[in-house]
Amino acid sequence: MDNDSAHLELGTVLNTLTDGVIMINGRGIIERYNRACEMIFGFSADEVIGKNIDCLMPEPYRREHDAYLTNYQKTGTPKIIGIGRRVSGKRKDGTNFPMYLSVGEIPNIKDRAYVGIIRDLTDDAKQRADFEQLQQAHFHLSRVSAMDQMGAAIAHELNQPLTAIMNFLSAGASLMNGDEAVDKTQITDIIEKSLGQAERAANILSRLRSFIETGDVEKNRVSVAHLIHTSLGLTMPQFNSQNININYEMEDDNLHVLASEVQIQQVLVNLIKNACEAMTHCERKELTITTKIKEAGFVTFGVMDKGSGLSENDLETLYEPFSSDKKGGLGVGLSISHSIIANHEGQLWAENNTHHGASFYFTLPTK
Amino acid sequence: MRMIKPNIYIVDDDSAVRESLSLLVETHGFAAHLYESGDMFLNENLLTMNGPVLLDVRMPGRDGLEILKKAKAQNPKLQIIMISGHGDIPMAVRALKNGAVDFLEKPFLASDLLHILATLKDSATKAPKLTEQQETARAALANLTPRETEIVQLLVDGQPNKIIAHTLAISVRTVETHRAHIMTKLKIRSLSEMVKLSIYAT
Repeated sequence: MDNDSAHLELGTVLNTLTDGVIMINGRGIIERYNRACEMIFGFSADEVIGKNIDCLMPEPYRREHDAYLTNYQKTGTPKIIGIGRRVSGKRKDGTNFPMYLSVGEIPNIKDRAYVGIIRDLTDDAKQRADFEQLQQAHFHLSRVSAMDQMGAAIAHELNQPLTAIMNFLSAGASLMNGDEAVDKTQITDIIEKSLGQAERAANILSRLRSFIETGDVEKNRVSVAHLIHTSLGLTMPQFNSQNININYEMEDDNLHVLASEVQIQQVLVNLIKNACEAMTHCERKELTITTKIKEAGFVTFGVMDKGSGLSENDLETLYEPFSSDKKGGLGVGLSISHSIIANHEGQLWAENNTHHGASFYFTLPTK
Repeated sequence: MRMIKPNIYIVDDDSAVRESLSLLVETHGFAAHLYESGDMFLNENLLTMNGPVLLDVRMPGRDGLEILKKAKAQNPKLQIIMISGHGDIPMAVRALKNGAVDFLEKPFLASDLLHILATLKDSATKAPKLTEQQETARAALANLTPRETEIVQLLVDGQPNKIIAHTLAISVRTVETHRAHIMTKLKIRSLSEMVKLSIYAT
């Protein structure tokens, strides 16, 4: 059998498979892409053959894939080859979906080549839940996103005792002012019940406080690039559809700070998310992240957007909890971020920038 | 002779809220009937109920909006006042569109609740004046400038000041100023009153 007909035959076989099959060369360029892949990704074979495989991946995989390949070729340590993993894929319409990817290496080829077999997990609800769980665990996302959910839950929870207190006291007042003789035991009962509800409210708040204070407060030497990278990885997937450009301006790739990794991720995720949300309605969405050594011993992080900036009122109440005017948000994020940075002996502040947007800065000690 | 107390039906999963609400309305002469879930309320014969219902939006199991729809289907005359968490404007709009007579945001002032109850009692004795309410609302809104009207619409859609500023290409501070003017012109104090007014007007 000559080479051409072998080629043709392989294509026919691949097209009969229900799993997606992609072959790439050592530089990540797609060489084969079967019919099942067309169904899964929405791209036709003509559209992707000859392109880098990263066009089928969401961030942060997209940005990192070339590095995965060179790493493997340099070190020979497989991260995915021969293992198989749940990862995210990106469809032509921009949506992300969970998929199971197994990768094999074709031996004895001059320019290395890899085969990926893809199973779309979108329709499998259970698998999807597993996927999300896995992803969350992988990224410590639970704690970071818990900050938001916590905020909404707290507002609802606090409303209950407050409503009860207001009702009890109003009823008490109207009994005191009424025509009938005042029943002392009833009034005492009302006061005690109000006190009970006030205590309930206080307990809710102390739960919030312990949520912020407990956990990983151990400070380690952490790479600044790693902090920014992982925080972007945690945040950006939810803004995938918005085409936000990300600029980095890093003074030095090799900066390190002394910090609790998870807590600083919380702060960065919060600032990045705020910045992205502020640009929802902008035409040109640009997020800039900077790191600088401003004074000896401190790294200054900057997160800048081109949104609509901060009003004077915003600037005054920024770190007060529950002062946000965001739909669905309660404004506990910045207040928590502020205390986290203060616990790190750093500072957090905000200003309006020359691009009509807002810039948030914080400092962290290098030692 | 002792007067028969008017009924009021309270549906809330939180026992403290339920108890305090019942105490409050009872000191103002109502007979309170308590239900700790929407399903327990729906199990009653709704057709025999003759008083307003205070229905919490956020409850485990079926939420208040679903209960509202089911209750209105069984007894369209039922006057249901929704009680929602703070700032849930889109929910309030949906509730009013689904036949709630009014809504309150937690935590609320007793006087606000009593005011609503008094209005309902009036409208029940004087026969409903829906068109009158509509006319008043329309007249009030007609006093607004075109820009103010735009802002009211965006606020009622649940948009925050920042987004409104961006949409209209004005500064957030200008939106805040407009908002204050609108409140004064409409003689209202809260966003929820604005929502009510704009729903009545349609």
